[in-house]
Amino acid sequence: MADAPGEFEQLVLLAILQLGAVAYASALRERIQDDAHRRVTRGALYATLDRLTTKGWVEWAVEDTTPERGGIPRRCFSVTAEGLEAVSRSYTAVRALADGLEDVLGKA
Amino acid sequence: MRNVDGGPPTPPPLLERTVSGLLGHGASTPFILGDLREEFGALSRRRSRTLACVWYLSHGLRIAARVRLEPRRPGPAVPGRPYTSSGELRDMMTTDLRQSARFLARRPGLSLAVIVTVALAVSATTTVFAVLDGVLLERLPYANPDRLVAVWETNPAAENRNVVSPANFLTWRDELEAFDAVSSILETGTTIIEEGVPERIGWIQASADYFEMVGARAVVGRLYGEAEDQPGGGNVVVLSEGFWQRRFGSDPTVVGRTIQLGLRPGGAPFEVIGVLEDRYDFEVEVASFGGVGSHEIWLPPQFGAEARQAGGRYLQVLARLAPAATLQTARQEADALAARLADAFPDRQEGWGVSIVSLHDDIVGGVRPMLMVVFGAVCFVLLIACANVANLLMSRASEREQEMAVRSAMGAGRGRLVRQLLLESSILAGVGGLVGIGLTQWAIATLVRATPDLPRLETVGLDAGVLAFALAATGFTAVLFGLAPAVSLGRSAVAGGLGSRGSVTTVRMRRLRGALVVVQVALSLVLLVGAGLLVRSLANRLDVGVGFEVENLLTTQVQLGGAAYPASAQAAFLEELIERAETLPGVRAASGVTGAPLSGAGSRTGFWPLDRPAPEASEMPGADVRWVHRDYHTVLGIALRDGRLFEEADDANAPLVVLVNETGAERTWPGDRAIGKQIAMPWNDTLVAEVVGVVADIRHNGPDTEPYPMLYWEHRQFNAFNFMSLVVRTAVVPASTVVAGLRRELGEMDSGIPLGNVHAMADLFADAIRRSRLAAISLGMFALVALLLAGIGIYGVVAHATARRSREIGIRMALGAERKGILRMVLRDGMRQVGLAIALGSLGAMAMAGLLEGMVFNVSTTDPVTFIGTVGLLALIGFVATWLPALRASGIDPVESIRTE
Repeated sequence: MADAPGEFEQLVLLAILQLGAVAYASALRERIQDDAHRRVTRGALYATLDRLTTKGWVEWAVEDTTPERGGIPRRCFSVTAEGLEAVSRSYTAVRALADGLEDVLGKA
Repeated sequence: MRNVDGGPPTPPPLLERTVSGLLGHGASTPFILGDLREEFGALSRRRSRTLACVWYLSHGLRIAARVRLEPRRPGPAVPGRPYTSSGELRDMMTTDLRQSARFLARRPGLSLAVIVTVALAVSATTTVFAVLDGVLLERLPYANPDRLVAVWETNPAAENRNVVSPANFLTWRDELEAFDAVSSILETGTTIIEEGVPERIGWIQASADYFEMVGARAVVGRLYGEAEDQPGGGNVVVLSEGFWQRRFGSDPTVVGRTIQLGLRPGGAPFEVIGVLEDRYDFEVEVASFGGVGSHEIWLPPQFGAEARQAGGRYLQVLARLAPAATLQTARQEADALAARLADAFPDRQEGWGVSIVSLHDDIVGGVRPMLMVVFGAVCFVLLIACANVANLLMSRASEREQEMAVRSAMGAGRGRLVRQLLLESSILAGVGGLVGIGLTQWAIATLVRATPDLPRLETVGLDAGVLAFALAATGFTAVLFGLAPAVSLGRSAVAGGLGSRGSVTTVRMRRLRGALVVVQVALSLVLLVGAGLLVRSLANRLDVGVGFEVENLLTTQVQLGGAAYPASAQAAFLEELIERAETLPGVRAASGVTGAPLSGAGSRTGFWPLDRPAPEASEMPGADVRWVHRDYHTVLGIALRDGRLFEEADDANAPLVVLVNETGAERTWPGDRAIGKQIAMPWNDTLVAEVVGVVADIRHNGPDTEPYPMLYWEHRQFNAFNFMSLVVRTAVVPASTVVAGLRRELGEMDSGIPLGNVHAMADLFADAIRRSRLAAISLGMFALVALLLAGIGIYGVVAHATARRSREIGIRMALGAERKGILRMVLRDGMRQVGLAIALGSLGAMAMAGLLEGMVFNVSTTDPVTFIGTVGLLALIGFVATWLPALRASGIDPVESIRTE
């Protein structure tokens, strides 16, 4: 059976998709904090990104450095096909289960 | 380092290297460092560089911790699920906590055993520490406690704490520059005749300097000063706070009132000028004639010119070091002065020196060795208890191997399993520690109520320092007994995995448990030897006794008022009182003495036999001196060895006669008969008397005091005293009826004289050996606890090992091994450990027993009987603790044991 992403993993995958070409670690963190209204520690984010990379759901490309980074290059993350499949599976499942519950969930 | 060329700020290289090192060599590391650098730059521009550094380090560490904690293999969620936020971390801690609590609750017996053991060990250790802290570590409650010193004279007989003569005290005060204040202290007793009932009270004669020295304050009124501490300074007294509360109901108007004291002939009244706060009371060490053991009033000694010639020694001296002086320089200066005085006054100073010790050492020095030994002993008990609990937990842990293996397989990292185990032991230790602190409070209260013979007991309590010690002891036990099983188990879970039996870990754990038991038994042996030596010393002290029958003997003090009783009337009064006492119901016989045995009172002087030329004053042999009523020796039961006792006829008109004790007779006339010899003794005038009898020795201050030459005089022949201690031998009736009778008789003779200091001699004797008893009982108790724990420890380990081996044993038996053989095999394995422990413990005991030197009495610290007895006892306990599980092992049903596997 294919692995299902955990809740935080889903958030990270969705945030990468949202940010597209500017999916840098710091931007991801800010986006999740703003949209999901939860505190994200840097450590947790890096650990999750590493794990998602290991699972093959996320890949990254090295981009040129900026003066602020003192010569160190940065990574831009993107979701792989497998990652996209995993997150959409989860999303479908959530949507199917939430179907007809709009009234209840809308109130919450 | 800020870039000078205006580039963006970067973190200090050291910080960056640290974080980089912690992050490790993962593929993400350089990028994480880059991200951090970016944020560092922004923060240091927005706020400050310092703040940015702090931020960098703290976040770098947290990221590293989080990234490194990530399990290397992907695994399903519970319970090793990686957490993603602090909320989840909290959840995980709660889960662990709940799991631990649930596990502990499932094994109430085990948990209770651990909690009780920890509680007892922590409370025993903390109680002893509280005493140690209060008595030895806490500073004296005076101002500048570290600069206060006690000054003693040292005499030719090599006693280094001799009381001081007024002449020397005044000379020191005038001449020693190392001291910026010097005070004399004399404790004695008198009678207050104020408002009807006379009362025997204790007073302290202390120089005015004393108050300034200790920083004393008056509760009401004022304290006396230099002007009043001069001849003709007036009759002023300061009341102690306790006395003021008790006798005057804390009435502040007492200041300015006059009270009548039976202190000086003529009976001039004394004016009360103030009340001294009780914490500035002084612990007097040398009771003098007539002291009652408490201090109700204070008054100035008012030394005049004649005191500069007074060579008699009776003062205690307290001094404060000048700012520039040290103990060392003070000693040098005092030694030089003593040498000059010896040249100037050879008759009274030859051979005499000065000893200066810090006041704190002076007060508590005597009990330090005992307290340290008891504290060491109780720490041993704590260690043994830790070993026992560790053993208990390990036996449980090996049962949990399966559970842990399952959890490990489900993704729980080793760190988490270890944490879980440590959490469990912390809960146990925490609860045990809390119960222990509660127990400690009770134990300290009980101990203080029992008032063992310890100085400064009022400072012993559960204060912040003691509480901190209790917490530290608890933490120490938690770590010590939690770590061993946690470490070995954590390893087992990872290495062993599911379904393993008799894994490497099990063997390692069994070895560890064996080692713990060896340590336990060895420590117990050391404690047992110490306890054995002290108990034997106590028994020896009881055996030696004091040389007379202490049971059914009462002693009480009578002091006659000054002017009303001229010298001639004093003896007659005391004679009549003794006669009246003998007629009381319940009294078998009565007599009197100046300075009853065990009361701490007495006097000592030099004397010489007249059959030899008079020696120099410094070479004169010393002797204790007592003036007694003629029946004294009969009433106390002191045997006559030669000659005769005092008789009715030895009165003021008869020639002077004297009795000496055996030690005096042997030292003065070795190999010769003392009877008929003449002695001379300087006492005001020189008294010359004929020795008419030799009596048995008594130990005047308790079993530990070696007999010293003693001269007894008949009090009617030479009476310079207006006081005497009555000694009353009672039939077995309540002592209170006899005391009431004595009080009635005395009241009939003179209603102004109180009966003071009533004591049963048996109580005084108990007091004299109280310290020895306390040490023996504490060590004995600790040793018993240790023995019990060690026994349980051996039993636990052997029982567990045999249970583990039941299958092997079953196979052996199925193959034809005899039950006897199995029994022997288990016994041999168990006793091998016991033997090793005994060997180690004996070495330890031999090394440690030397610490008891000075506490033992009539027994060597390497006493073979104690050693052999202790080893035998421990071997027996070890045998029983091994034999029980061995017996069970030999009863194993082979078929059953093989099938269960």
